[in-house]
Amino acid sequence: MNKKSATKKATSELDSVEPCLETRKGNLRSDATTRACPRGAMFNGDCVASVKHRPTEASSVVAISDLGIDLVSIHGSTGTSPVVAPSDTGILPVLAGILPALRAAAQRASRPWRRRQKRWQGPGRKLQILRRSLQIAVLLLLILIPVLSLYDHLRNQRDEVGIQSRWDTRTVHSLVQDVEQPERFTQAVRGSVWTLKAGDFIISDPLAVVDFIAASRVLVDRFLITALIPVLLSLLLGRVFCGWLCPADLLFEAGSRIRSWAGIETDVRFSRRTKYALLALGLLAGLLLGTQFFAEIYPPRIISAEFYLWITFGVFGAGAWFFLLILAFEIFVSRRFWCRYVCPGGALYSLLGRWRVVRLKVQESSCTNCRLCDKACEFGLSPMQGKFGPECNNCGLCMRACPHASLSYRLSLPPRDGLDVVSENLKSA
Amino acid sequence: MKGRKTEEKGTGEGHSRREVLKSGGVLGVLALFTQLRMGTAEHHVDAATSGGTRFLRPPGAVDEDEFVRRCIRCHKCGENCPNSCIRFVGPEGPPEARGTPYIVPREKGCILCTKCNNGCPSGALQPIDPEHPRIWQQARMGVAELDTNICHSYQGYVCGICVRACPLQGLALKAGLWEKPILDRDYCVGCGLCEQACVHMPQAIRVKPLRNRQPGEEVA
Repeated sequence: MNKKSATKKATSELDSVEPCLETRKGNLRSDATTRACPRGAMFNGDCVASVKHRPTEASSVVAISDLGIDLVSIHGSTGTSPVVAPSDTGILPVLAGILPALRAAAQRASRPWRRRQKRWQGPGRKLQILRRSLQIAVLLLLILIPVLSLYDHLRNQRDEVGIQSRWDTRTVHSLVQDVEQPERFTQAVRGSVWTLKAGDFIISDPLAVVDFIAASRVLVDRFLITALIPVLLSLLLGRVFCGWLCPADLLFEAGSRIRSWAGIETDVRFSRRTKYALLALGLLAGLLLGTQFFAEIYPPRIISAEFYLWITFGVFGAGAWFFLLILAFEIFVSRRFWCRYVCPGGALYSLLGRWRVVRLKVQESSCTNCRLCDKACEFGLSPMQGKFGPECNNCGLCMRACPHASLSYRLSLPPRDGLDVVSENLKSA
Repeated sequence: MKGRKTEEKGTGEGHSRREVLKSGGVLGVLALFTQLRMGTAEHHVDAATSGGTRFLRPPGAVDEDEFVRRCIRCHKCGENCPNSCIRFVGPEGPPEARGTPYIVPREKGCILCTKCNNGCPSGALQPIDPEHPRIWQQARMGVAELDTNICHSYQGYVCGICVRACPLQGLALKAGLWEKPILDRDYCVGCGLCEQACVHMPQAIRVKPLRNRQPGEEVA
């Protein structure tokens, strides 16, 4: 009876503590009360306190656990017989079983999340929130534009039934039906990340322009000028489209997260030059064969095109399968395969961003060579050694990962030796 | 995708890569500049090589080969089309034309609103003024062909639905005796509204897409 007294003692001590989560379903049926709790004490907790009646039939326990409910932390108050609600009061005993189980599941699930939150406390945390918001906004815009376009189609055809039969066009309709000239809103933005038209302002991907020049062998000035802003941004900020706007990067980073979550270690590496070779090869093929190829393999364009085809025609093209294939390959075989080794757009942006002036720098004095930044870098660069190279997309993940705040953005000319290392103290600078 | 399975050596070894880049870049620039001709959005066409093609392109499209070269596959013409008649070549199409817009006139013809070509960023679809007094010279997509062997009006039934559907009624399609459609190929732009409207199955009037879509002779 040592156990019994110990249990009683512990019960009085732990009355206000949250329920013990370690005991599982099987324990309850066999001998829940005599089994030692991993926390070192038995517990008579909130989970049963919420139920008013406390009969002492052990049979009801068996009945409830037979339901297959994960009866966590329902222990006997006296130590001899487990106490649960009576089975004839309906939903309450089930709730009494489910609620702590849910809470336990939530706590189990939140454990890695808490660890992750700790990593989020770095200096680059707000920057990452901004980056994610931008990427998600772009992704939502890519869904919104075809919906607006479809609504415009149906409205032009006076197709009330068509508008009401879809929840997305119905929502748009309810938003704009009282507005005068709804075209101002529904036709304000058209296109995708490949080429976007907002009002009279057009902005295009430099890859589209370069591919157009190669395939058509014509310089159309009003098209060339649409790539001016992305080119200037890339000259200043490097491969910034990849890390901050590209919707494919968002999904590929999710794939990378899945990799680390599932503990997949396989990482086949390829040569980084592949993407430059593919860029040259694609342009050459477009030049010789007289058609454009990059539009069909460039993931951000694939995503926007597939959204458009899906919403407008209700079907997916071949691009969706291609994209999922890349994603699966990235998850199971090679981390960030497309962006690191293959992407022709990334190659073009890397070439433009070679002389970027906003550069991430590592501070030599405070760095402890822990390599956390190297692990965090999605593009497989070596931030710890300052080897960002031309391919850094200024995403700032290394900055967030650094526990000593050794990494920071700085305005500087490209270093001669290719190493972005600062020797002096950043704080004094 | 086409990567050699070499060990990643980091970004330190710059020389060989620089050489590869240099050679590739020089080659590419050379190839570009030998082939590049400066030009504006206007296109040059060879009237002699006029013929048929597979896809009926939206109005204002440049010649077929040039169109495939110029289209950047942005789907903007389809988004702008208020009639939703523009489709896109899927994976079943020829690889060089994949993702380019086309029209199936039997399902939905073009209403010549010219919103698609005025939104085209790259000049694959040339801008057209919808109020132009001679729009049939600018928006040549195809030419209708009438099969009098099956046309109702030529077979003793009075129909004339294609004449009513034609946006250039009185020019491209005229109603003759007993509503017999009389086609004038000089005015026909190939919008396909007549084919969409035709009540005969299969359709008695069909639009044949043009490969060479330059304006025809001056029509007074």
